Amino acid sequence: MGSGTKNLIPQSHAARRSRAASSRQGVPVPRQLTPAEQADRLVELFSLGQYEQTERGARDFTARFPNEPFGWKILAAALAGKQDLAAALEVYDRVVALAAGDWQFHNNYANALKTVGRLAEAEKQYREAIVLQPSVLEPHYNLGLTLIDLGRLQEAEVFLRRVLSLQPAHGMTHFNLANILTLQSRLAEAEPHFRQALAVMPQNARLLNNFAQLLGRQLRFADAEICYRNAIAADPNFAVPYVNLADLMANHGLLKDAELLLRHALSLDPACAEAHSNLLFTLCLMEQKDPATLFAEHRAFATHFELPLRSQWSDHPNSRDPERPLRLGFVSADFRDHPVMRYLMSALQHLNGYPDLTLYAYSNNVRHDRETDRYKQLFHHWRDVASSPDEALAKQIRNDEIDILFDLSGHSGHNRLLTFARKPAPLQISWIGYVGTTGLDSMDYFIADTQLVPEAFQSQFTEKILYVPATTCFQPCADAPEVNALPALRKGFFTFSSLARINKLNRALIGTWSEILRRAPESRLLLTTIPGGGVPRLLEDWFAAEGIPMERLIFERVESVAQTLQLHHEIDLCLDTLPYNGSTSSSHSLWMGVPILTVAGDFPYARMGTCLSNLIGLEGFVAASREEYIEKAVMWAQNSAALAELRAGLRQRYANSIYQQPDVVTGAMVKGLRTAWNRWCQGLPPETF
Amino acid sequence: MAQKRHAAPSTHEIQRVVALFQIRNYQEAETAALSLTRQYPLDGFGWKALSTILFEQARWPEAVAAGEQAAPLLAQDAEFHNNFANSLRNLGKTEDAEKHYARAIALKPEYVEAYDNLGILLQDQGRLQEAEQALRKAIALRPQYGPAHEHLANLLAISCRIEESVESYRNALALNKTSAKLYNNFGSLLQGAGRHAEAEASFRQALTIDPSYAHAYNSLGHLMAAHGFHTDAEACFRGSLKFKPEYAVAYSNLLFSMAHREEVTPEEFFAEHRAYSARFEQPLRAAWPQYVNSRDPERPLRIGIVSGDLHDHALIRYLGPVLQHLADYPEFILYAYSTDMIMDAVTEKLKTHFHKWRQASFLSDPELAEEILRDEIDIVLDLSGHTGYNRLLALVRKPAPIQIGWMGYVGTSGLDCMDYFVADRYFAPPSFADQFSEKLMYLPATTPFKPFDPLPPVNALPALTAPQFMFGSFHRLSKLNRHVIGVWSQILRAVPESRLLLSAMPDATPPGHLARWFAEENIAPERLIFQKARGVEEALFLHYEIDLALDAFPYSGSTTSNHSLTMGVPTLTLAGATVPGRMGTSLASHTGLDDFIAHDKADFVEKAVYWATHREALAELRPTLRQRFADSTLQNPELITAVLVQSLRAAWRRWCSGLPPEMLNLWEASSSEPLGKS
Repeated sequence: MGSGTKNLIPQSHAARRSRAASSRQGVPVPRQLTPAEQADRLVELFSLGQYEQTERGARDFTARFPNEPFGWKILAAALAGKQDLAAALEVYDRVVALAAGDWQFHNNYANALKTVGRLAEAEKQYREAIVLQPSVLEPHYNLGLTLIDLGRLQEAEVFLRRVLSLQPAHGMTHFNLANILTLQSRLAEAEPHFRQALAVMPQNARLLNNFAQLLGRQLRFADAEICYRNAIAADPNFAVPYVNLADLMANHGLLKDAELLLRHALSLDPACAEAHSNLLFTLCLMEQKDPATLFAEHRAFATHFELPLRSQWSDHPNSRDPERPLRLGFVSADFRDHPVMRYLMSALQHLNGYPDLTLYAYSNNVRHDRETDRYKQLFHHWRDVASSPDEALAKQIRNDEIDILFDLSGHSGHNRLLTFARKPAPLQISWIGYVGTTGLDSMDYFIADTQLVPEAFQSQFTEKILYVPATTCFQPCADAPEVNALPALRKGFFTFSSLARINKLNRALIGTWSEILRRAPESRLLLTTIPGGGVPRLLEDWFAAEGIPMERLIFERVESVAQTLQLHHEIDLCLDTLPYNGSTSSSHSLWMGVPILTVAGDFPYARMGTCLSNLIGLEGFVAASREEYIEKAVMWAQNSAALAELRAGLRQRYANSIYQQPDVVTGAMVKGLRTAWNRWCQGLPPETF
Repeated sequence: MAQKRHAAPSTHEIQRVVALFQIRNYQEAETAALSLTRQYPLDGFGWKALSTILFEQARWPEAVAAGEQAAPLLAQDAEFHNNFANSLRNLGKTEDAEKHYARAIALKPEYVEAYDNLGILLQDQGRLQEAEQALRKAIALRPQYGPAHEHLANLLAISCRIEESVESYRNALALNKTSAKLYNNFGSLLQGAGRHAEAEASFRQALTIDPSYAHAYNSLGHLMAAHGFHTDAEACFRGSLKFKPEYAVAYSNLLFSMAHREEVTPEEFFAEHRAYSARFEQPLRAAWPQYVNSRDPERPLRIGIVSGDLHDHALIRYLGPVLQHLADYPEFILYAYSTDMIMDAVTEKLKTHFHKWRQASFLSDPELAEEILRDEIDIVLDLSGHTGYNRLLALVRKPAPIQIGWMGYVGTSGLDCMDYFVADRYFAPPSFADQFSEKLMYLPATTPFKPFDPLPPVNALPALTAPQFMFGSFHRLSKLNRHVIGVWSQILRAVPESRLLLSAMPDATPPGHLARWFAEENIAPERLIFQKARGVEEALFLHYEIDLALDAFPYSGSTTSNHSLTMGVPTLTLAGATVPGRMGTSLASHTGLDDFIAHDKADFVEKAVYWATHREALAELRPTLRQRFADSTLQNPELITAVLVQSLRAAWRRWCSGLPPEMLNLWEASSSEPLGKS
């Protein structure tokens, strides 16, 4: 958000008034400046930014003319100018009655109030200024910004539009208006305001960055990229557009670009935790590296962001009674219509049934929808925390005396790991959101099953592993279409598919898939387009480099879960992405009768496919190596009859599996939580069990 | 047929529109016609007039829109159908256009203009036989109709029926003696047919008719340059540019012609290229695009090759072997942008090397730039420079992040948009760097060379049995300037028992100016043999008569010298101070023939005399040269391609890191082996 509250001291006006005052009072000022001259001099000093001297002069002036508001006004402005807001406010509070008719005074007073966070009072003073002088823009603009800070976006819009009626080319107003329209997803309305702001401030990096975000949300990716690059060109030391551009790149599968941009952003702004988290997620998506390297990258996050906070960790006052009711806190940005819902909702429904558990939600997102309301009914307490800084959020969690705090994001977007790094709860557990370690010492446990995190993988975690029968359950779509007969039987060719987003594809994987296509000549591969349609350039080039003609590839544009499910009627076998497996999409596929061929990998995120297949008894679709993956794919392409039979029974098999037994899984988890809690009560460190 | 009565414009209203149209006051004519369409929307005249007026202003889509309104009202009006078809044709709606021409002719079987227009339409579609029929029909109907003769002449010219085309041009000219354009086109035909004197007369006639006709100046300049009259050529090109400053082709021709002039210093040569940039590139720089190409340094790269010679052309001897070996590097994905219209069997073979083939000849410069940008090409290789069919005006829009000049043109483009120039260290030594706006990208050899196949066997040195020593030249006429003739004459005077065979002449008879120059040098005509230009194979056989080839300067031979070497005939060269003069040096250096590199003109004469008097040594060398050439880097396309690939990648990595282009010499950096001594 742009700010720009500026204190106002009109020169001639003030001088005229003080001149009049002095003559009225008739105070002789021998060998001194006349009051008018002194006022002029103060205004000059103030406008030069010489606040110390202004303050001295103003104190002299107010001592001589204590009833003259000009002196107080400039004194307070000077104090605010030298950042002594407490002193400034003390003056404002004291003389507000004296200066009641001066809109500038109220405006300046409000600025000081706004700066110290007394927003409600600031609003009142701005409104006073507006009443006194409805045709100047400053108080309107300032009030608009204040209302934004208060989260009252629609009211803010009214005042910002008022500014534009006073001055149609006010760049910052267009900028702020564009921002709040974007926040309300009114994208088409926001765009013209971004453009008008840019006409006034073409080199404003923050503005270019925000506009680029809008373009990205409108799926105008090339325009967005160029706009980010313009932001970078305008201010090469501003880290934010690098981070956002990296996100755009990663979403197009350009992971190397993303990595380079993120590392550069971190070199510019080492305190940018978001860049580091995004980097870690990007590294997971990239082609194989050894687990130790990846672990070290996660530990580096802790060194940068957690270590400096460790000295501030303090003991928790929570009562160490092993059998008492427990308060569970859940921190997530996804309490809404989001894939996480298919895992989380059923678990919460069952947790809600345990009388000795009190559930707290810490919702880190301003976006709410119908599903949010469903979530709200499952929690005993609901906290909206998107706008609270980490320090404040940690304090709130501590005040809520949360016993066990769940992180549902890990290093994925909108995470609050820097809250966790302050250790607000005695036990902190990472679950669902991220398939790997947070790297934090403050995170005590990671919830997983033995398929996802075999014993040998425990060294990839700072957390201890809390084992449950299945890491999560999955709730399939109730209105999914019926499973159809194997399409290969009617089509005359075999259709492999991956419905993964392009960021999970990489050069080596395309090589593997191409080998399958070469060895199974009567087959095609069905993939998805980039959002908005269009074959990703990267894939075109990779397949071209492999000599696979485009006719062997089918690109489908998929924009909803319903479309994804329906598309399975065209698919014979799904090929899992390597190393980063599919999860939600794979569960949908299994529900639609389509098995996933996968390779058991060396990282938790490379085990999601294995986990799914093994837990529902499809061990035959888990390959030990890439070579076996290729062989199995070719084998299935030649054994349509067997695959057709399997397909027909797959939904039932899935329905009978542990994935559909949230009562069992939640029961095991609750037992595990109680065990973990007992250990803490006894002063024992976390332990894997 | 019963016709509904409708309101129609008065005679006066009609006359007013016609009059405004005739005096070419299109703006008012348009207003008047528009008003008629509003007053009398059911009458065809207003729409027809409006459509015609819009057509004259080249506003094709609007003209077609107006025509569509008129069509149902004027179904029986042949003239309307003809005009409407013209609009449709210009909009690229060829099928509809053809229908309306046919309708016009059906309504009015003697409609000459419609036949003529139909002929043009058919020719544009490549239906040449049908086109010819239509044009001949127009002529049969009205032999006095000049445009049909002109169009027929064009058609015959592109069908290579030169004599018939000449005939048609003469008919057209007989009917229209005042068209400068006609004379200019006729001249180009004559020049192409090798009838240079007539061509010159035709160009001059065009300029007499229109002394400010830039195209005729350019044509005449081109003719002059082809004869080696580069000073005259320069005057012509500059004249052309005076009248049409935006005529980039004339400027490129000027630059190419300058490369042939000894008097032009490297600094002047470079400055003139920079002037081209100032005129054609700098105004566009602010609009250079930003790129969405992924900055991943190791990903597959899209390489766009822009060339007007992707057919049976000498260039293929250099490019072909590289394309073959690039197949070993699948991460280089090739896009072709073919900028001329010739397609032959070689084209078809070349197409198999490319992932995408774009026919760029029909695209305007901005369109081509847009296409390259849309294809997200990472690296453009321009194989034309300032030679014919170049598309530098597309490249000055900087459609790709990296643009590289290679082959085709011997020197800098002078442009900021070109990042690198591919060379080897003999061709453009590092000391030449300041002659380039580009950074030099060094390969083991600038290009490989693929010899003619099958090669005739090498014979013994003819001088061992023949009474006289035979010097040879295979240079095109444009390289043979007065200085070259002077130096060669010195040699002939110093070696009395010798002759000079000049091949690649436009005619078997000596060109007048060459004969005169040799006469001035006191060289008797019987010591000179002039041979008309022949195909490659015949040129190879001609080497049976040659003992030693003489290079030209300042613009040395390249393809011809390579061919000579495959036939065992070395070319004595003069190491030049500019790139055009370095091709012979590069060839000799790569093949270890340093004794055939002269350092100044005196040395050139001395070395020629030395070899003419040391025939045994030359005879011994001759049978070894083909193999020596085969063993050299020049015939090692695998190596050249490997280094090219690494260099392109290195250039790409620099761009990804935001670094500017820099001289790249990966080959010498990675190898302590001396070059060309394999």
